[in-house]
Formats: sequence, C-alpha cells, structure tokens
Amino acid sequence: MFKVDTKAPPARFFEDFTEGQQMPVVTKGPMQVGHQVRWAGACDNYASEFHHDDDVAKSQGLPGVLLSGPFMACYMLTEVSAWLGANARVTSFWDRNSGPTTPRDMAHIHGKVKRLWTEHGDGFVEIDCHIENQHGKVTTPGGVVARLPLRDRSAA
Amino acid sequence: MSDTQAQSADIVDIAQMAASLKAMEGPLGEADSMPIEYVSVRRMALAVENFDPIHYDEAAAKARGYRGVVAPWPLLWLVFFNCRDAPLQFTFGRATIHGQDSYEFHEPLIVGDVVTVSASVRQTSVKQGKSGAMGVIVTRREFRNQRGQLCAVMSTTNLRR
Repeated sequence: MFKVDTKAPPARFFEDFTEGQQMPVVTKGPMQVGHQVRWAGACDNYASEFHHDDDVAKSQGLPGVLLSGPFMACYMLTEVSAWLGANARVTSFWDRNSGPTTPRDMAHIHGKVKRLWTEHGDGFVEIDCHIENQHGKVTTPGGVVARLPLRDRSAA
Repeated sequence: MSDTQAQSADIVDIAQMAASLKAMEGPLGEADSMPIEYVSVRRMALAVENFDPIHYDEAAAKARGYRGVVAPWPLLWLVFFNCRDAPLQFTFGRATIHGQDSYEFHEPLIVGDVVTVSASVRQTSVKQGKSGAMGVIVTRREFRNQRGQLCAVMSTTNLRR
C-alpha cells in the first residue's frame, strides 16, 4: 500500500478567529472525470451514468458529465475543516447544489467567519462558505458550525 | 381545453402529487448496518484530498484523543449507498434532482465500528418552480455506532418533477 504524505492541520483556538475573517481561497482543479470516478469508488455508487458517461449525460439534456454535488460539497467541508484546525470539531454542515461542475471547471473554495460565540466553556464558530467556478458563478453555497477550544477557558 | 379547465387539471395534479408525496412520509425500509473498514476510510480521505493523519494512522488519531483511525465525514455517503434497500419510489414525474443536504455531526466514526443507519421521509411538499409543479422530499438518516451512540444525522432534499 503506497504511503500517503499526511499533514496535520495547525492547532487553532477560538481566539484565533474574528467575525468577518476570510479563509484563504483554496482552488481545486481543473476538475476531471477522474475526480468523479474516484469519488464514485469511495462511495460505491456507480448508478448514475451521467456522472461518468458523456453521451448518457447529453442524452438526458445535461451539458455533459457532471461532478457529484455531494463530492464538491465534501471538498468544501474538508477545506473549511482544515482551516479551522486540528482542535476544531465540526458539529454541522449544509450545502446546496446551485450549479453544475463539469470536467475542466475550476472550483475556488471560499469561507468567511459569520459568527463567533461561547457556550458551556467552549467556543463556537459559524462559517459561510461557497464554491465559485472560473466564471464567478457560485455552484455550491454552504455553511459550517464548529466547536473550538478556548485558549483561556476562564473567558467563557 | 379552456383556461378554467386547464387550471382545474393543474389543481387536481398538484393535489394528486401532494397526496402521493404524503403517502411516502414515514420510515424508509429497514435499518441496515455496515462495518467501517480502514481501506474505505483511506480511500474516502484520498478522494476528498484530506491528508490529516487521523484518517490514516492509528497512533496519530489516538494522540489527538480518538479511539482509533477516524473516518472523514464524507464516508457517510459510502454508508448511504450501501444501506439503501428502499430507495424513493415516485408515482409521478420523470426526473429526481438532488437539491441540498444538511448534516449534524456527533460521535466520530472509527475504524472497527459497525454503523447502523435508519432512514425516513420526514417532510414533503409541492412547490411551484419555473417549469411547473415539483415535489420536495426531505429524507432523514440517523447513523449510530455499535454502542448506540448517535454519530451523524443527514437530511437530503430531493426535487421531483
């Protein structure tokens, strides 16, 4: 089994975030059918032919192969979680499939701190996030809530 | 057909759609279980380009306070597609569109766990879209580990037209 080069996210605390703070944009792509195939394999889901056969996709009125909406959303969840750091425990996430992602599209993942609050000795952060393609169209709006430890617990 | 007749037909269709959707509400098949395996966890982590060592290395995961190698949350989709004996069955429309998802995350899924998923159609409605009426179906899935602990809740919204 090949060795994966792993990298732990940095350890961050509640106090490291401020409302309005922007996550550095993470760019994925150009997206390829191979990305979709790898996702399909990881999910054991080969039922939707339009996700890997261009002719089938076009016969169904689609522009071509579409990358899975949940796949793109999970990319976003992964990158936002990594930005929040190794101490963060993501408690909720939502996403909407607003626009298609097709092979050769770019996916620019954005995030911004919407709200910070403390509760029962823990910090919480709410992130507004979305994926934008190379045309500036938002394909995947979403949001993340995570629990973060306080550097100074007496502040809670 | 006159405008009045067409409107009446639309109302009947919408009422039929609403009744058909309402009949779908409730449990969706039997609860089903599957083990969380190391290779599946690694494969999913690679697919979503998550290189956090807690998804690959037991020692790294334990050093961060976990019981073992942690499944990245997208692995819920593997469970979704493997434990789906009773997919949604519609009596109208031609296409189902995956609209949106929301998730609650609780107890992490760990390699060696056996996860049980139970699904139910929680909410249905009929919405007027640009291309006509469409059904809105919210399906909720609860994922629990072998200890009975709630690991995650996934709510999926599908549109049928």
